[in-house]
Amino acid sequence: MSLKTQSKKFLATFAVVLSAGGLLLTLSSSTLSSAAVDSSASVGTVPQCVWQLSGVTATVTLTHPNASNGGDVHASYVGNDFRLTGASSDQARVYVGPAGQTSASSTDVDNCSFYNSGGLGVSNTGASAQLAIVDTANAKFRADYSGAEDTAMSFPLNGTTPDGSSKARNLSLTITPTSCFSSNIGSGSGDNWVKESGTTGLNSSSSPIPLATLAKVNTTTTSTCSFSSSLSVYIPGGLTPAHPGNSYTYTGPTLTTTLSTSVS
Amino acid sequence: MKIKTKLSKAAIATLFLSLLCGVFGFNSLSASAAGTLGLAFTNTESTNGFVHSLHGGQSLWFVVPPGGTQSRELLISSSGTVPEQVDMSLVFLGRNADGQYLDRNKVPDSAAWVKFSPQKFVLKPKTTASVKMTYTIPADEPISSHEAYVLATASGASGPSKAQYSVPQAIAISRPIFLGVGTENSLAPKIYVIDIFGEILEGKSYLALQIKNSGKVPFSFSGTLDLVDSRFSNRKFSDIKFISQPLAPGDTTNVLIPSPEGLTEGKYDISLTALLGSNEINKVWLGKLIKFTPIFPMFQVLTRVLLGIIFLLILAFSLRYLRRQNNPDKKSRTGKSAILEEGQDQLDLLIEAMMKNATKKAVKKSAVKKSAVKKSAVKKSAVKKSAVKKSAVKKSAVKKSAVKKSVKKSVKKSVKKPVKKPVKKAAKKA
Repeated sequence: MSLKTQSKKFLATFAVVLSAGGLLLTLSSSTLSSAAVDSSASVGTVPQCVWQLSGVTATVTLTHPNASNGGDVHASYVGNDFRLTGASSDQARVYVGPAGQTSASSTDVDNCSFYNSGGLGVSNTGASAQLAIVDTANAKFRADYSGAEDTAMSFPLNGTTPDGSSKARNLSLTITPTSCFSSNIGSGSGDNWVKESGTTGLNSSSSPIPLATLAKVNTTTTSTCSFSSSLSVYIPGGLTPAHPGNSYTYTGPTLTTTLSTSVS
Repeated sequence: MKIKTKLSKAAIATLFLSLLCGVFGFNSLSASAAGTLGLAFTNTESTNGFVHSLHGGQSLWFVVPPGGTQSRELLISSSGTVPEQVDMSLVFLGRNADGQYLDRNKVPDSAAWVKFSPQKFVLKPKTTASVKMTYTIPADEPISSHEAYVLATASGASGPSKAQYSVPQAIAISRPIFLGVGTENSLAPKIYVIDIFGEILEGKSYLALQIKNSGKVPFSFSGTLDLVDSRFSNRKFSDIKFISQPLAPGDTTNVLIPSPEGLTEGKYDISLTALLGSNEINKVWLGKLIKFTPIFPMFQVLTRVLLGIIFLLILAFSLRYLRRQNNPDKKSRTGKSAILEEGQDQLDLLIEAMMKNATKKAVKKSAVKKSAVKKSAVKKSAVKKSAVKKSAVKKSAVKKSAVKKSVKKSVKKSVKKPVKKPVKKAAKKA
């Protein structure tokens, strides 16, 4: 038997073994491996993570812009649509962190833990924030003179356009998300927030307006979302004051930002 | 008639101050002076043993018998810059396809039984206040379960703004609560552990524990799993912890437990240990097949089939080659390689036929033919009468099934043609 033949024979034998093994593995339902996993450890603890809300301006002050800023030439109300605008002085923030912390940590992923403690609203929950006029029955701008309401100058926020005005009676809300991250570490990474952006006419029918939502699966110990907001409203034209020539104060409805946790 | 309203002295003063602020770079004096609101809402752990055993004590759960009372401590923290007026209340929790939602316009069914102490208070910046929440259940209240939201609402404590035009703001944080009216026995959680299997989600392997809440209260199910390979007992995966999300009564869910490193597909003896209330739950699966099904299981099946065919062909070819090498006597006895080639060709054709024939019956038949052809080709090769016509090849063409006809024909043809001619030639030469 030549060397060439022997080599071929050896090769064929090897192929038989290899293919038989391969065939068995292919038909088998499991793969080979071995490992023993058994471990124990002791660690310190960090504070409980909670969803928080901060940076919401207690009162937004409105002013009447001049003509070059979208207002008109009249400094006072003359019976025409009279525009008022304003913006929050700070950015509202929805974030995860230890209770009382003013913003989400940007350096420490272990600043707190949800601890998977289970139960509704505690264990690694998602969160959603919304803006609402809570008392929709009294969704209005109230006009006061000397501490008393002048109902003729007050106007409801009901989305309708009254006679003598060309503007719908809405509180126009412009929301701009600024920095929203599933994880705020470093410069922040991953934005899985579902955010409201742009201008919405808020009134008794359109309230509440969703602001931002983060699902449970995307929630981390440093999740955060900030947004700035600005408001504008028109005192509708065609109103007649009971005390002409005097100064009125206008107070809008309370805008409530509500944070709800969810297990979904 | 259009009437002009004049600005008051106060308004002029405000404008003047605003102008000054503008000159000195401030955005808005009034807004800055108003400050910001900030709130966090937590609670201390439940001291009730039953509630604690159900949920680790962190969630706002109450289990109160009719006529009984139970309290929890709520912690309200400020992250604002101004004093906040905080108001505690209970609001309606509804459920829809998207999950649970808060509705301030509806009153929850347990609102009459709850008391917050204090209900309204002023919270200074960067401080935490303790609020005692107490449920007192009427004695004639039947066994029942209730859900609601506890709402902490904060607004500026300094009163209405002095600005001429303003919009006040408030913040609120809600926490869901569960109230079970009943005793530990009547509200004892019950669970049905249905199955455990492997699952792949977003590229990660999980053990999916399928459970059903067969009791009357929602709960989170937590415990440990131990896996031992059914074939190699040294392959152990111990103390795999799991916890489910809150499961409503009657609901079924799959608790996804991240697969421990090294856990491969195969059969395992699995034991589950969990504590539900005061009862220990044990469940054992012996020789449980754990398979991690990928997103496209068909791809895996096809890959396996393809690999199987390749290995089968290599095996057949190698065996054929080895057999030829192990029978050199036969080769020298006949003195002609043609006969052996005949056999090889026949074998090739038979393998081909086997591959084509998908049914077991056909495979069986082809095996019969194979043996018959072998006999006729090797033993009776020199004799013409071996003419395969008489041999089992033809006979074996069992004409019982009409369905198999086409298969049979192809096999017959492929066997007949190459066998006949060389045999005849060999006989003539002899």
